[in-house]
Amino acid sequence: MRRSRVEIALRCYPHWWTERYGEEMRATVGDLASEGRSDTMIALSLLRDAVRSRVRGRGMPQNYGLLAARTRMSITAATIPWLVVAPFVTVITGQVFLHSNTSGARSGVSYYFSFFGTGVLGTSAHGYRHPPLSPATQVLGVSSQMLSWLTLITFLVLASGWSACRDGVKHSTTPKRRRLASTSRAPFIIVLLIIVMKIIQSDLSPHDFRETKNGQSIAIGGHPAAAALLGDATWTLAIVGWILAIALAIWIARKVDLPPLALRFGRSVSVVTASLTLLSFFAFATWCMALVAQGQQLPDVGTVTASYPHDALWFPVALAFAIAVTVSVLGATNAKRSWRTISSQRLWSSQTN
Amino acid sequence: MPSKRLGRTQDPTILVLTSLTGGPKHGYAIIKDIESMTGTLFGPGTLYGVLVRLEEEGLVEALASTDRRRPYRITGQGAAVLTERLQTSMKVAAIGLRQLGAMGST
Repeated sequence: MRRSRVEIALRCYPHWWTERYGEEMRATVGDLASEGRSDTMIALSLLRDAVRSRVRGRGMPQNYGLLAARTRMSITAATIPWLVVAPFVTVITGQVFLHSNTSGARSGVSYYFSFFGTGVLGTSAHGYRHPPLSPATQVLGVSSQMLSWLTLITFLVLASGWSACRDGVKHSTTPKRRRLASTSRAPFIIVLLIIVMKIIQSDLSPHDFRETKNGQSIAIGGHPAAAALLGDATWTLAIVGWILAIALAIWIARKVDLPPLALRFGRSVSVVTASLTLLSFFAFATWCMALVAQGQQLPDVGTVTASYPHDALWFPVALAFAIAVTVSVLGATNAKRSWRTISSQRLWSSQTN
Repeated sequence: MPSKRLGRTQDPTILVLTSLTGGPKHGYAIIKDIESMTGTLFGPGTLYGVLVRLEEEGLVEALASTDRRRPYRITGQGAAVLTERLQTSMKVAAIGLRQLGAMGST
């Protein structure tokens, strides 16, 4: 059991490292263990160096195959964290309810919340109004809008990267590349399907609400049950597409020998994605701070505050986001570095010769 | 109470290069040599992290091994870098000790 800790740590080193230094490292570890050095300390030392070797790639042979694989994995490390974190951030910050402590606006009704003013939908008799927002609530609104825009931009950047990746798969030497290229079309098809389903769902949803004498709202028109079913189906499809995109990206990075042009584009996509992920993290951190500040302030009469149904999850998501940003930035840095080595030495020509 | 942080100022690179000035050594021998020189317990990960970097920079080179233990030796460039670093350290040490002596006499 204790021995396996060292073994596990040794297996954390990259393949090229183990090939070059594995045997002598095992001999050194064996000598240290026989003199009574703690296995845990040895394993921790190895683990730290293994992570460092993976991140920095120091001592890696300078050949195209290894550097291209490293570039692909680094691009994946720079882009996947956003894909993992973005849905959770969107779920937490995407749905907002504004509340007023006066009778002018009804609690629990969705309002329009934007950079340029906040339209509060009161009763139909009052129409749209622009109530005062507390500073913390204003910051919440601006930061959540920023997050929405950054999410959209990152999504478009990743979509263009995915498109270039598909093209790269088609031109690679990987066996079954046509089937893989067809499979990699799936995320695009799923996104289109989700858009279509959303349009149909909005068409099936109730068109209006009417208030009864006892104050209850009833839906008028549409097919609420069908709309709800379609909503569930959309969510299921979105989750399947999300997991499929992540799995495909990792599989392609590990197995497919993408051509240099696709790698170069992937490097640029990874740098832009890491920068956008960092900006999104700052926006999310601002949102979290504003949420806490809003919770601590005393409500003024007439001001409107925002609440989010899943805001209790802000801390674990912020923590996951911080880890994601670190991984993403490290990935982009490595992708840049690996590609620079490949392009400065024109290593791909040595491979084609 | 002496600061614990002072113990960390010993640069592992200098320690490994200094150990190799005594002749080619394999990983375990370097660890034991550094332990006897400074009392510092080197982990195998730390040692190989330094060795890989030094080998990449051409300051040490691996020799052919007869068994699993591969010995390393310091190169000419490594010796030059080490000489320069040690001379700087000696200069700093000399100034520091002289000034400490002056402080003690006043």
